[in-house]
Formats: sequence, C-alpha cells, structure tokens
Amino acid sequence: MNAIIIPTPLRKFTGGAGRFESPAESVQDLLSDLVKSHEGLRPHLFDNGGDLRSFIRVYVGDEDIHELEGTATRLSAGTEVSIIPAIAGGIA
Amino acid sequence: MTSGTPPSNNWSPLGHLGKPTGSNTAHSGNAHPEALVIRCSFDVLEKMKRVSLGAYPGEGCGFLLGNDGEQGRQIRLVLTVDNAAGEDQLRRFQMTPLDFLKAERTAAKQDMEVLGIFHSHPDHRAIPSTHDLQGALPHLSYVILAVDGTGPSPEVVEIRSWQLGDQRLFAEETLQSQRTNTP
Repeated sequence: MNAIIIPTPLRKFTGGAGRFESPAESVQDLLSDLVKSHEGLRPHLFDNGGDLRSFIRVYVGDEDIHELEGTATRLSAGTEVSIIPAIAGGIA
Repeated sequence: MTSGTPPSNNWSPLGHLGKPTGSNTAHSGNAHPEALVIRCSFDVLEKMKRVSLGAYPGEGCGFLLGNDGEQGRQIRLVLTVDNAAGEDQLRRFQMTPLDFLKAERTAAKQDMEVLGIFHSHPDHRAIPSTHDLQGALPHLSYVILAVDGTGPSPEVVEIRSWQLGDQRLFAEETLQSQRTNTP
C-alpha cells in the first residue's frame, strides 16, 4: 500500500483527510485513484487536457517527480507521496 | 468591498484606501454568496503593507496563518517569503514548495493553519489577474495589496481579499482589520 499526503487547502475535497492510501504502483495510478475517490480534487490537480497543473508539485519521499520519471515514476510498497503547491501569481 | 457581516465592535472594513491605481482585468465572479469574512489585527495589516512597500517596484508576498471560526477567519501571523520569481518579480511572485511546507509546519506547531497568502500588485489594482487565477488554490484567502508608486514615495492604496470558488473563479471576501491586537 502507498500513501499520498494532501495539503491543507485541498482537504475540503477529501472530507478533511490529509492522507489517502492506494495499492497503486506508479505516481500516475496513485493520482488517478485519488481523484476517482475524491472527484472534487480533479480540477485543482489537473488542467482541462488532463495534465498535472504546473503549480502542483508531486514529491516521492523528498524527491520532486520532475527529477525522477514524472508521473510514470514507479512506487515501491510503503512509499509516501506528497502533493505540494508552488504558489505563484502576479499582475501579468 | 462586498456586502457582508457589518463590522462590529472595533472592526473596520478595508478596501480602497486612496485613489485606485493602474488597471487589472478582473478574473472574478460575484461576491461570495456566503459573505466570507477575513479579519486581521492592525499589526498583521501593517506587516503586509511593509513587505509590499519594501518590495516595490517588485511584488512582495507571504503566507497568512490563523484560525477559522464561526465569526470568519482570523489571521494571526504573517510569514514573509522571498519572492522566488527572480527577474520576473516586477510582475510576478512565486513561493516554492519548500516555502509552503515550512508554512504548514509552522502553522501546525502553533495550532493554526495556512489560511491564505498575500501579495502586492505594484501600480495595479488589488484584483486577481489571469496569472493569479491560474495558480490559485481553493480554501486559501488571497489578499492583494495595490501599491501606487506615482507619488513621492510608494503607498498602499487598496487591500482586498479573494477566495477561489468551486468553478475556479475568484469571489471577494469581506476583509476587516482591528485597531487593537487580538491575543
């Protein structure tokens, strides 16, 4: 079983839960299981094309998946994955 | 400002503090139907202003920590963050994932939560931009301070707060400040 940690601003879509567990063996499958269970999360994690939004970062342990194999990164049992927003904005 | 809970005791509504500055395209819906109220002490307000003025002509930013309650949100602590937007910080702000983790850990240690962020709009209105919308998260209050640099020294002329709705559109919150600090 693997787990994904939900940041506080998104917990309103998980009934307040900060942790979601799934037997998924890749980041992609884990995220997919998460949004299937909590559909309200989908528009905040993925854009209309189904890609992970640019300001949503996913870490496997302490490593950004961009440094690994992206959402194709494989997970060994007991891995903890974190969703962490990189907040950005500005006038233009 | 939106309509909402009338200010009580020594709570004062915020909004236009002087002449509006510049222009922004609003990426907002109507006022929040539940008339969300966000409150902060005078010190919290002053810290947001200092950071915004200090960053001018760039954008200043930080996290807002506090507690949700029946009377609305109470912001108790401002965590200033270095703008990670690099050369783009004249028109952008960015807070890294590590900044966010630190803010969440600080909040948890003090029995608070990350309730919002603030950032400044140099020479633009305190209205969310397209870029603000693209990177917005639900649940968080987005306090925007408009800084007018056309006078002898930069001045904060507008402070407004927004929250992302379920349709990924911003709705305005009622932002109030208290002259005296809460415990």
